[in-house]
Amino acid sequence: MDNQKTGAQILIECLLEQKVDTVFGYPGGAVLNIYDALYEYSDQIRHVLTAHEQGAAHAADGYARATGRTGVVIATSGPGATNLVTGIANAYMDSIPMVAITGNVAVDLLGRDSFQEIDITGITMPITKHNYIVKDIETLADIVRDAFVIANSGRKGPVLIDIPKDITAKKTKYTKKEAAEKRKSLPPKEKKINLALELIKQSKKPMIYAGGGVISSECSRELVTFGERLQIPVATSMMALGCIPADHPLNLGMIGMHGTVHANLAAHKCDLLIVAGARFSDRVATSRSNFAKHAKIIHIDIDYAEFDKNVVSSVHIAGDLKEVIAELDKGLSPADHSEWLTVIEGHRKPLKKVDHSDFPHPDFVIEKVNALCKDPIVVTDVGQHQMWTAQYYPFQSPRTFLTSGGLGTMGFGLGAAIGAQAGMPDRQVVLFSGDGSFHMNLHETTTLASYGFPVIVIIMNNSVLGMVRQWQKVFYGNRFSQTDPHRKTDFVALAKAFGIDGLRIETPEDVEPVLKQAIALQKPVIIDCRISPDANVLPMIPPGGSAEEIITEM
Amino acid sequence: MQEQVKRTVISALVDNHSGVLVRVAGLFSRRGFNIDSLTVCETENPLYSRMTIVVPGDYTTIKQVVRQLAKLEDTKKILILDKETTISSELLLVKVQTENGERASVLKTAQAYGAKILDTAAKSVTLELTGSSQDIDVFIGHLERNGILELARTGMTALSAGDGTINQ
Repeated sequence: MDNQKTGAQILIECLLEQKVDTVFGYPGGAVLNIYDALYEYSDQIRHVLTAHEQGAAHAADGYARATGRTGVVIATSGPGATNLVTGIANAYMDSIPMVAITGNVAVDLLGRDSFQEIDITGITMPITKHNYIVKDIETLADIVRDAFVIANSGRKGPVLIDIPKDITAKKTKYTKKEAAEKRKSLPPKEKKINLALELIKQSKKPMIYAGGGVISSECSRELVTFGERLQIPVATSMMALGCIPADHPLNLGMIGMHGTVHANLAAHKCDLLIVAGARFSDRVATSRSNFAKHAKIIHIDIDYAEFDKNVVSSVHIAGDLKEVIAELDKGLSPADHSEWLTVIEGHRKPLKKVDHSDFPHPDFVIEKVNALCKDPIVVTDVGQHQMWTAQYYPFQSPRTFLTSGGLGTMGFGLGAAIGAQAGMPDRQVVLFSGDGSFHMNLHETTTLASYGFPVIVIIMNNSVLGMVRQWQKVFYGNRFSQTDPHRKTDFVALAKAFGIDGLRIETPEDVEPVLKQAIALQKPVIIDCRISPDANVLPMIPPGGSAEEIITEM
Repeated sequence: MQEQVKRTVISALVDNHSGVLVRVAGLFSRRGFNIDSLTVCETENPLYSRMTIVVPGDYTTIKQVVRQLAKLEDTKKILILDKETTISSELLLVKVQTENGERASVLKTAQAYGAKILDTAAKSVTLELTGSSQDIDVFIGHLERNGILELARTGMTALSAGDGTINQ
């Protein structure tokens, strides 16, 4: 019968149903059948081969963040599957839609400690929205379809499908289906909307704290318009950077541990905090009991479980943020809060230059990238360079800043940049990394080289593990334990060894010409940018501290 | 006496397939919620299992537990069973030592509580009692004087009273 297909073919067919055209992964024994099918379907699905499965998972994540579509990653059983774990956890913490497909040993070998067997569904239960092991080929197609629905519905996130090898070889009838719509979230409750409207109308000093939900709900424009109509200032979590243009008069910048002084003080002084798709992470609500303690709180989220989890709200509205904003907007007339805005303006201080050493200053490098690159997608790793990028890069639109928020994964950046570039071939992708983070997954440079992804990698090289070192400076009396690794890596030579270009920035005068040279290349390039080991990320609210304890000088 | 911790009975209808129990138990452990008891078995519909979970904690904790449980893909329906309108029961098996001429007093206690005698051996008897968790606590307290060799209890299982069901 001609509509009989193998499990591997059915898997690929189901990916095609979902309009998947790019997957990331790494082959291996348990996925040989799947890779054989990928060979067969190579004219319809591009497979990006990374150096390591972790890189592939971060690439699928970066792809999803940049494009808004579900990222797909494939890995073999055992070590292939466990290597995905950090990448899946990273996507889970930031609510990024991802479908991870792993091979496993044949069903009759499961549970016998067979070669390269691992219980990956057991391992990934806490870091996926849901996961499956397929033990019956008849269920395969619907499991793949459901996985995409789950990854994309409500609060998005990763779903894993573990497929034993014999299931990918068996044959059954396949009937094509259209991709299902994502599950509709329930409309916001009228009663809650009315309660929120009352609070907004009564408020003299309102403020919006926007989170990553604004990006995933694709409602940046609506949120900004709402803020403009009611003259409510907007602070963003790191995950929401880009949802309001950096230079917008109502934009207070980033809130939280390394946020702006005026955003944090505004949260401290406001009488109403409208929380839009954010979750009061401890990096924002550094002190749960003191955060916005003079304010009533309206918490809007698509995930009901976020309400009262970290900070108790006066009113919570469950629903899709876009719909909730539209409902609130209907019930409100334009308002004026100029007095309150003037108070906040009084706290606004320009961000300090990072340091005054002879090294190129990180903020200067970041500003030059913004000046010279046309509308890039900016990716970061984790650490000081990440915070500087969040603070100094003037993001203009959503999905232009891809960073590991919740999990804080050093080594995320290069894989994510690869995924972003694969999904957005016409955009300039710039990765800011640190020498510490870059060392964690630098082998993915080989992927840049193989595919010619023209990512500009800027390593903010201070030769130390800067963020941890900064904490040792502030909280541990300069006891620099294991943060000065004395590495001898020559990143320019490394780039060349991997087959791409390497450039170096050593003085402030180098910054502009080297960046111009890198942009002109239109090829993958690593820039080793030397910065001072003593540069600090400021301002900083100590963990557990309140907005009033913000440190602005060191 | 220790201060009484408030306990809430949560009833959840979940998919009846392997792994569901691990998902639920894992959720409790990673979020730091405690479980007093958990019972689970297939329902009238073989597609579903019903879990009865007794959870200690204040209202805020219970709200979080319910909301997090509701998020699991396998959770079909979840209810907090109200104490006033809940029918609950638990089963106890207990082996009591009957040396030193205590057999008669043990059997008398069993009879008083309506416990069944499941097994009579040379040095012990094994009893079964079904009832509310409080009744079982009291029964155990009584038998402790005789000397309990071992016991097993199922934990509470419960349904709401009246015509209403979790399926509605």
